Amino acid sequence: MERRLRKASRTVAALGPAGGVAARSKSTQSSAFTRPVTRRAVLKTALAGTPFLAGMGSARAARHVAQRSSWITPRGTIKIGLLWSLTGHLSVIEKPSRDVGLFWVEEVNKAGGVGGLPIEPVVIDAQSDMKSYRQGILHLIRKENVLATFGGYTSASRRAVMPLVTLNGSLFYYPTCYEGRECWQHIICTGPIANQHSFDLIPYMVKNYGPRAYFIGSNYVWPRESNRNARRWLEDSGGELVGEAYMPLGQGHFDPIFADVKKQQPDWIFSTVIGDSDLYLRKQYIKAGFTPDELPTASLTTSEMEVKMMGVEYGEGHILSAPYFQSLDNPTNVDFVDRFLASQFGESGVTHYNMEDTYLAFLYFQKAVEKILLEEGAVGITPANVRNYSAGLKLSAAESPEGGVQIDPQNFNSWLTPKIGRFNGQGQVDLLFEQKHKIPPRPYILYPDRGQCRTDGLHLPSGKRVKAAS
Amino acid sequence: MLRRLKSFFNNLSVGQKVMTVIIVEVISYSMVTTIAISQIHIVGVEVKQMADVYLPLFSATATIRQKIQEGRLNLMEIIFVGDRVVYDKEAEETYLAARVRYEDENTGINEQVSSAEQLIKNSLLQDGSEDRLLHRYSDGLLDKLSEVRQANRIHYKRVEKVFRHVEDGSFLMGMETLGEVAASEAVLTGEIDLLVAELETIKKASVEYAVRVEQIASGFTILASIITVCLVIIVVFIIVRRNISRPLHMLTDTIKSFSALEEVIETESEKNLMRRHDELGMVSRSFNKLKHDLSAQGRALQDAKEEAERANSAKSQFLAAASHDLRHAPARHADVYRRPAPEGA
Repeated sequence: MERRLRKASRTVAALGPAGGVAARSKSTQSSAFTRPVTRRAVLKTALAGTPFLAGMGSARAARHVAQRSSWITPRGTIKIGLLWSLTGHLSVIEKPSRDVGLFWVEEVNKAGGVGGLPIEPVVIDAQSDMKSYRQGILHLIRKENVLATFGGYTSASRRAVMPLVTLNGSLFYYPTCYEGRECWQHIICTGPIANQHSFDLIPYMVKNYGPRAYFIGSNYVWPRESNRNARRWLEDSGGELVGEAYMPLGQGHFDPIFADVKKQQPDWIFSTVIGDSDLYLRKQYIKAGFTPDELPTASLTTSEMEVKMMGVEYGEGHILSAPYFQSLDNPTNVDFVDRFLASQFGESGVTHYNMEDTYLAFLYFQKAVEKILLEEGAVGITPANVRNYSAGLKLSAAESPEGGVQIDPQNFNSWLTPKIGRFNGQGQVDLLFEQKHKIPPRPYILYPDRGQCRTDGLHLPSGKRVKAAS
Repeated sequence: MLRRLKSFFNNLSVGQKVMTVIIVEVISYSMVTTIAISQIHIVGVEVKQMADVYLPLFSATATIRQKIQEGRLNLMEIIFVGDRVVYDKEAEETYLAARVRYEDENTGINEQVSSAEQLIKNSLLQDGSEDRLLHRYSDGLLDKLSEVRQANRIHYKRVEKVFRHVEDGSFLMGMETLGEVAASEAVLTGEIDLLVAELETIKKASVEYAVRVEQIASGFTILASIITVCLVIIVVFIIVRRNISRPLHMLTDTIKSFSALEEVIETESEKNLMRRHDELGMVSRSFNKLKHDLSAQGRALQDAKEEAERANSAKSQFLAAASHDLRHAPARHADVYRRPAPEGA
């Protein structure tokens, strides 16, 4: 197998000068006019001008060349897009994901690239703005011709880019938690969805801290949908919802909410507040005189990263549900944390599930591309094929820091093992609960009427198939 | 015919002639004025007909615009709840209500277009003449209306696509088509703008037409009045000169040159004058009779005078001869009788 892989990489290398990393490709890019004329480049130009040729029998082979040349640059590299907010209120949490991406690119290129093809990352700052997200994805797909884009942290950003990804037939890796309830045909999600995120957390909280819950969330689709799921599971586990409040993204005026919390006397708070708002929430929580002993918060997003940002004292004693903690004691994770923090991209000084899910996205991508190269050669590398080859793709415990994971062959979310932990005085999470096995993603768990999400779309009970269900 | 008319006219008295002239003048003036007024009336009717078409059309376009606006608001409401429609009963109800309203607005737009078309067609049927203003613009209007209908159809199809996405639960893909929806809405409002522009043109044209015809009509009336007055002056002048003043001159001349002792000679024009039935004819006939009478009397007087003179001269001669004879020889008596008569006056 290794020999076949090497053979594939040689084939690719023979097609064009195998470039180095971004630094080198940049210089090549800037001198586009002096780019050496290759057979491929000529064909590409010719085919671009005469698309009807592609339909002719004699041009059948040429079409593959044209397709191949679309997704492997003339320098013999694979371009990927990294689309996260490096500025604005989401940069706190999104920038480390970009860092993980660059970390992976550096590692993989050091090792000779993916199947011999160096990775050329194109980084775009989404500026915590959904319009910038859309502009960014269009630039990556249309101008940069990237094979796949990795990015997004909020559901709002995913929902902003996915229609464009779908319309352009590209591929998007969404490497963090979300609510589910969507069925795109051009996405691979590596984070937990609602049934893997709060499904165990809510009964756990009811059982250990009491039935009275108060929901606080940021005001956008993910917290609202998460809370809808959580309400169901709260009911199912005999809990009681005593209050529910939402804060606009990036804002932090929590005083009135905490006043109401004091009045309602909940046993615990379920928080889906994200970004800068989360920092305000934690600070005002302490200002309001609450302590985690009498009123702990259970969060889906207040991770090691946020706690490090605001100070360990704001996190200590609070609950987090996630498939990964930095403190996970397994050789893969220890190695990952060491390597990452020691690298030039480890300035965050911490890893958290969002970063780890991002890392998994790159590992899945690498595995899928290598599989294509093995089975079809460089010819087979297309965004659609990367997704096809990702169906059911597994990462073993030796590859994945959070333990064995797998891409669902139908809905392309991840199978993973939910975990619950509590922050200690060092800003790390002590594991309290871990599912015994991988939990399958069930994006429509709350909506059985919506049918099944499969590779080619959402199959409604009526037999109708809805593409790009959102 | 003309002669008969002339003779008829000649047979009228001067008063009647003047009356006739006045009547002719009044009749002709009234006729000209009537023509002008009727012309203005016809234009007025036509302009009103046009207004009957374009005023409802103006209000139809305003209604359509309003409906587009309301449709957009309903669409906004649908967009607002759209991503929850397949999951949420309340959102679904909101959506369905907004959709029904949207469809009502759309039907309303089509109805407005249809009734506008019907209005134009009915107006065309009502007056058949091809040269009316309406005929000149009706094709353009109907074209524009069908453009509006077509644009609305395309727009609605695109909106329906959004509805389908919302109902299927592929809401975000529906949102991607909003650009197209906005574009087709812009086309629709653009078509309505064109229709309104056409209506403005028609409005302007019919106003200009009315103004122009009114100007022509009033100019015509003024011109006709002037011409009538001139005509009357000329006619009066000719009548007075031909039939009154010239015969009067003739009579005066005749009177001036008349001598009772001369033979009465009647010139052709005097004869014509005398044949007339009017006052001048009477005057001339009377004068002619007077002339004849005077002439006869004059001749009688002359004769009498001559007779008297002859008698007087005979008496004188006799007396002279008698005295001479008395004094001379009776031989001379014979000579006296042989002598011719002396020259008489």
